[in-house]
Amino acid sequence: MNEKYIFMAEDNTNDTALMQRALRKCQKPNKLIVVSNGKDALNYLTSSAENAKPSVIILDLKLPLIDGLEVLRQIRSDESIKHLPVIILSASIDENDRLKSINLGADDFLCKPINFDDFVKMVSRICEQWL
Amino acid sequence: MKNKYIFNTVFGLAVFIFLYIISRFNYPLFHSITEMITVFIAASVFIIIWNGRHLLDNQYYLLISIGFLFLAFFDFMHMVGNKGMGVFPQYGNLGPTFYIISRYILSLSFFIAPFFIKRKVKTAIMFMIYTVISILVLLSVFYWQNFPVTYIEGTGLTTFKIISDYSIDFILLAALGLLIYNRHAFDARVLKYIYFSLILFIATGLSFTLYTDPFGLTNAIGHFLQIISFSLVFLTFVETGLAKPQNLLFRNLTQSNEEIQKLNMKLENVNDDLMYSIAELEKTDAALKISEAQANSLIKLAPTAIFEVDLIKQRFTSVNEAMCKMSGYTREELFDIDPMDLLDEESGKNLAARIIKRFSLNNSSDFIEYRVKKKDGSFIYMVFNISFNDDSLDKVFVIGHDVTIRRMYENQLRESEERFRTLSETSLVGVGVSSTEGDILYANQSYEQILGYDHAELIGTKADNVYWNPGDRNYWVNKLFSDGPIRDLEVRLKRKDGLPVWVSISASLITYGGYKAVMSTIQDISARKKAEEGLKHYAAELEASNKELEAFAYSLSHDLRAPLRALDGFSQAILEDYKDILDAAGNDYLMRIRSAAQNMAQITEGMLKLSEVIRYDIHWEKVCLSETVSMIAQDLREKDPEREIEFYIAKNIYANGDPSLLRILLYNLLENSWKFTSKSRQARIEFNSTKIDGVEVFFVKDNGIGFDMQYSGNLFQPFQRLHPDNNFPGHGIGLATVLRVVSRHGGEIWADSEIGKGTTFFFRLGDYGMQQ
Repeated sequence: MNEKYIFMAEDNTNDTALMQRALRKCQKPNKLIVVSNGKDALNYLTSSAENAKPSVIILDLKLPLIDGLEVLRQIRSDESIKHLPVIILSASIDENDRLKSINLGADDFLCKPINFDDFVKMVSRICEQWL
Repeated sequence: MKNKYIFNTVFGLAVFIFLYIISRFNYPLFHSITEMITVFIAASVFIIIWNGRHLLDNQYYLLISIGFLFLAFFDFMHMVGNKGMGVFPQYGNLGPTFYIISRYILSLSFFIAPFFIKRKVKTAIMFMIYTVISILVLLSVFYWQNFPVTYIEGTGLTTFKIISDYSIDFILLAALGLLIYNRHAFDARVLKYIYFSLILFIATGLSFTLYTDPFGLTNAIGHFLQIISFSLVFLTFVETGLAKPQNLLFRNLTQSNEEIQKLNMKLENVNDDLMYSIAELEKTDAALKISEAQANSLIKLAPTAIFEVDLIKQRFTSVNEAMCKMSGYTREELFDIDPMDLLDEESGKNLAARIIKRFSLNNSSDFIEYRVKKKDGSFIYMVFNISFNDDSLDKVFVIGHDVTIRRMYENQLRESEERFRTLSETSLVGVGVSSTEGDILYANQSYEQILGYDHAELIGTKADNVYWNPGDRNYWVNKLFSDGPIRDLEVRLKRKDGLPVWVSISASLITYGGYKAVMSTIQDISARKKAEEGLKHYAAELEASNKELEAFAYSLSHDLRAPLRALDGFSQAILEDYKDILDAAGNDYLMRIRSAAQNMAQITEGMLKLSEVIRYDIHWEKVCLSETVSMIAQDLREKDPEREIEFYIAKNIYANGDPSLLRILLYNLLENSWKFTSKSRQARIEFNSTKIDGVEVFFVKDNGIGFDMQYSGNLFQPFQRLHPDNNFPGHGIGLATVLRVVSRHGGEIWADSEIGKGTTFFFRLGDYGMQQ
């Protein structure tokens, strides 16, 4: 399986559903794999075959079991997956969170827009960049 | 002269050799001849002096010569009284007896003579005395026969004779002494002869005292000495007194002359003195006249009242200008009134008592103050210096000083002292005075109350004792000396019961009883201190609860975002996917749900930004505000490209602050201006800086719709809006955020606005150093 796709760790099913809808709007349906906690995210990433790794990882900060920043830190310290692009997609607009994320090796830090149109625009940019 | 001396000497020697030869052959003859010579010389002395007595002013010679006359008589009796002569065979040997008598006469005459040097001798009385004594002696010898025996046949001289000889020698010595004492009355040469003869008389006496054989050698030598001594007297008295009377006379004359000269000189001196005294007297008289005139003008012009009062007539007899001025009366008016009427009743009584007392006391003055009524009815206070005239007791001379002003000052001083005392005693502030050595000299009631002491208990104790830390007093007293008065220094004192009490102390240096002292006021600030502590506690609580509230607001805003996003996203999904199923109303409702969700999203966003500003750690650096403003302006233009708006952005405006926060600050202000100029025709937004009181103040100025300044108080409160929502969308969080940013920079923000003309927001930022 050499297909490009987005891997997303998000516990809020509303956001997951909106994400899928936004991808559909961007003509990129079925390009999303979602896990609902940090532990599953790491498990998936480390266990998936090399050629089955996602094109981009989108992490929420407040993830159950293992939070987003810790997941990011472990990704960046694991040789097999450290090269994967990671985008932190957070509800937070806190500058500190942004700085911490960038320092841990995040490729981007994005706030989840409330306006769905803005949300679609954001997803569109991600797709353009990584898929 | 020389020849004469040789002749005298040769003659004398011839006589003595002749007599010596005779004495060797017939002693009684020798004795008779020598005694005859003696009698002859003594008688000659008398005769010559007696006849020349009017020439003498020194009665010494006259008295001696009278003595010599009687001596000659008794010496003759001595010559004939010797047993061998056989004149008085029934009386035994009378020779020594008459010898003693003649010797007494000689010595006593020489003894008393010096007392008559300057005294006139009544010759008749002198003769009488000598005669009476002589008769009594002769009666004693011949008639009463009770004269002491002088010589006993076979035994020799009696004790009486020997004692008499020594006594006579002593009398002669005394006579010599008296003569030396009176030597100035004699010519030097005369004096020499008399000294010498007196010594020879003594020697003669001694030689006669020593003999045992009346015809022996010592006896003979005695007679030779006798002749020599009498010859000397003769030479002195006769030759000097008469043969050379000019010596005596001249001496007197010279002496008189000298005395006259002395007297003359004295007279001249007295004359000079007299002339001088007269000149002085004239001067004094002139001076007296001048000083009298001066005294009169002094009295007239003196600033003190000077007057004389006749106590009997009860009238002024004289008054000076000052008295008229002080009393307000003219001189004539004063002469017509009773001086006592000028005084008020009490003063009058005092003065009367004073005057009555003065009659019995000495003439001095007193300094009692009298109240004097002026002509216009007002009063002045005077002190009188009263002296009584020595000549007439009914008149007094008075000097009066106006002491009204002094009294007024004294009263003022007393009142001010009283005021101070009352103030100090009733003050709730503790007032204390301590010496520079640290002894408490004064403490008012409050001072003692604050420290829990009883009345006057603290006075005299060491001030250090009332300090919680005994060194504290030294600290501020030193400061007081070096830096001046102390204001509101907070110090902990120790009460009597040992408990601490916080006071605010203020102190200055004063003079107390003539010495430098420290005056301090203390105020019990225990309550304030307690309140301050409480306040600190509340502030900490408030800060904690504020933080909680902020955290709550943050998490609330944060957590609301997810449901809002869902609301917006899914309502749009319905609109898109199920548009055909819903009618127009359903579509409208969904639109409204979306709009409300958007609105709420904006509110939560604002709140998040606001709390972010509060939580954010400031990173100070130099920021170019001009560049920041330019970028924001660009951003705003891009967001709303249709708006035509003029930006004026001053270049090179820098400030110290956090770049992110300053961006938020400026963004909000510019966005505000952007929004409120949307209805303006030629919208213009300016960013610039100016100086107010030397401090740089930045401002953002627009020509938008402005607002009524009376509502400006709520301008920076969250959720406060001055314009209706439909005209200018917003949530009232932007300016609250701006205020937070400015506050966090230790600055200030204020607005100036006028409806229809525009608004200017001014802000200044705190000093970077102050924030460190």
